[in-house]
Amino acid sequence: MKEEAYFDEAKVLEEMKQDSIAAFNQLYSKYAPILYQRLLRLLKNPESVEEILQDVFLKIWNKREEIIPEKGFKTFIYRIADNMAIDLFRKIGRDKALQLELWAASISFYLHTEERVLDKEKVSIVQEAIQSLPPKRRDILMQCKFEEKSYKEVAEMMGISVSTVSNQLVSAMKDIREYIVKNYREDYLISLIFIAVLAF
Amino acid sequence: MASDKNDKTYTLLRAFINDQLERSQLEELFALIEEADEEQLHIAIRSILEEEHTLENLDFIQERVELLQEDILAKINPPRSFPSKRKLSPLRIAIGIAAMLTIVFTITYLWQFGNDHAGTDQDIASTIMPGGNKAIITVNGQDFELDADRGELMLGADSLFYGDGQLLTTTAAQQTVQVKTPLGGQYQLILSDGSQVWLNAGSKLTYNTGFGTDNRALRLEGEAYFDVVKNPDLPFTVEINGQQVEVLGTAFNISAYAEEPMVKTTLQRGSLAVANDDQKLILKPNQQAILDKDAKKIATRDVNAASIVAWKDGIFDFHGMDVEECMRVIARWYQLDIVYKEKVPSVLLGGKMSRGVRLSTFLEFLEANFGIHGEVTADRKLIITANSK
Repeated sequence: MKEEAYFDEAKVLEEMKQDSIAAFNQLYSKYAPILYQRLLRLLKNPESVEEILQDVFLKIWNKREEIIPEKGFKTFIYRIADNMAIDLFRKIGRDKALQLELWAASISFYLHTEERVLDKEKVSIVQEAIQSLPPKRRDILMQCKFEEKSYKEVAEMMGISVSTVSNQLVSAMKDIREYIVKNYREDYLISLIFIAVLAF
Repeated sequence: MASDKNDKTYTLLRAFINDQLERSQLEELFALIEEADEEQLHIAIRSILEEEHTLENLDFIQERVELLQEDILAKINPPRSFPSKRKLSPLRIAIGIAAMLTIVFTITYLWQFGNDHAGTDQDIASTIMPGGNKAIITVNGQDFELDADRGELMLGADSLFYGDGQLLTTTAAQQTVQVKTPLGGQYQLILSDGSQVWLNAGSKLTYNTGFGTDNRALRLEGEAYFDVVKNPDLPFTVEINGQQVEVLGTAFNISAYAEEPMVKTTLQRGSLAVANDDQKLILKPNQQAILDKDAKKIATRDVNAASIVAWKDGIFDFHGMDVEECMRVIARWYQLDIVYKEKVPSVLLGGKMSRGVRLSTFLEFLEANFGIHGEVTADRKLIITANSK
């Protein structure tokens, strides 16, 4: 079965050239989720990913007249997104503070992973960070991530909107990152890892 | 050749991307990256990202992507009805006008309604009111007409009651429960497992008591939107003539009217498997499975799920519909028979409208935007002619 049998990309691109927002939305729905997933694996941080995706899609819209469907739109949009993400990644690498933040982001993502064997030490850091969250934010995080409730259920239960739930989650991750950065500066962390190694 | 360094960079990068890098290695990784050839680095990162990996956080991503879309659209500054220097496509003009008319008609409608002199207009169409909350539930052969004002019905494990707690009837084991909406009716249901169902007009949902404990199996005819509570131990299944849909916890819409040539299953979030005797396909959010009832083949396409499920929030969203499909939707909501006096153009429609308007409002909308003229007879036939002018 060919999955894209009904999605005529060349036609949609042609419509977008004629200023069709609907066509733009179709392309967005097709590419934004996979690109989000892809960039998140490199950048570990929803805010950075969202900034880049916004730039990518604004660029696609602004340059819509220059797009040549025959040249392969998928390759084109992936290349734009990858280049922006890799540039940011290298920029992060040149700055010690940003590096630490990146690492913190990567472990705060342990929150999302379901079937992964967790490193004890990382888990305890993350747990500590979770404890430091404001109660309501912590509650939302626990409901969504550990009790596996859908965002909608959590939203209804707490009497807030679904987008508030997702915004609170992003803020929670940010708080956790900041907590880790603040409390686990490099030297302390190395000694901690050292102790952890000795303990086994 | 600096291939050792390249290998090391690759290994560390891969560990980093897969969240397996230790803090102590991070600095080494970035030192290597700083020295690396830019093109080599791009190739390495891209090839790691292309590797198979488990998909995670799909709900989260879907939600974020939708929020981000609003921000982006706001920045794009959509060309509205004011013509810019660009060429306006007919579809865009139509959508623009449709949007304006919707507002105008809503205001007109509210004004008429508020002044309560609807009787002055002799046109039949203006007397045909939209559908509302109507359904009949059958338990063990006994029919109950549902109260229109209570809005939702909870289908508990051993009793049926309204959202406000008012008991309708009790049920026993091994009974069949059927909820049926007439044409011009819709109803919202809450199942015993907490899942929600919006049943559209002219539809029928059937299950056996024991739903929620022994199984989560339903049968559907017509159209319904499902928002399913996650339960990995008890898959939620919907049986439609010639097709099965199975999910764990997700939100999706099925349109399976007898008079439609296709059964359309649209996934809004989560994941979903749709199967017939020969095929099984997995849908991602914003994908739609289309079963061709004659060919017995299922294909998928990308869609905007929000527009397909808009009906449950009281909105007709005609985006991507052709005239005939749109007319069938209207026929089910206003209880009409559609008669085509001449062939209608095969254009795609656009625009949104409230489901709470009189038929006359819809007809004006149709005429103004698409040059399609409709006239209603006393026996509720809607006669369509392509262009009145």
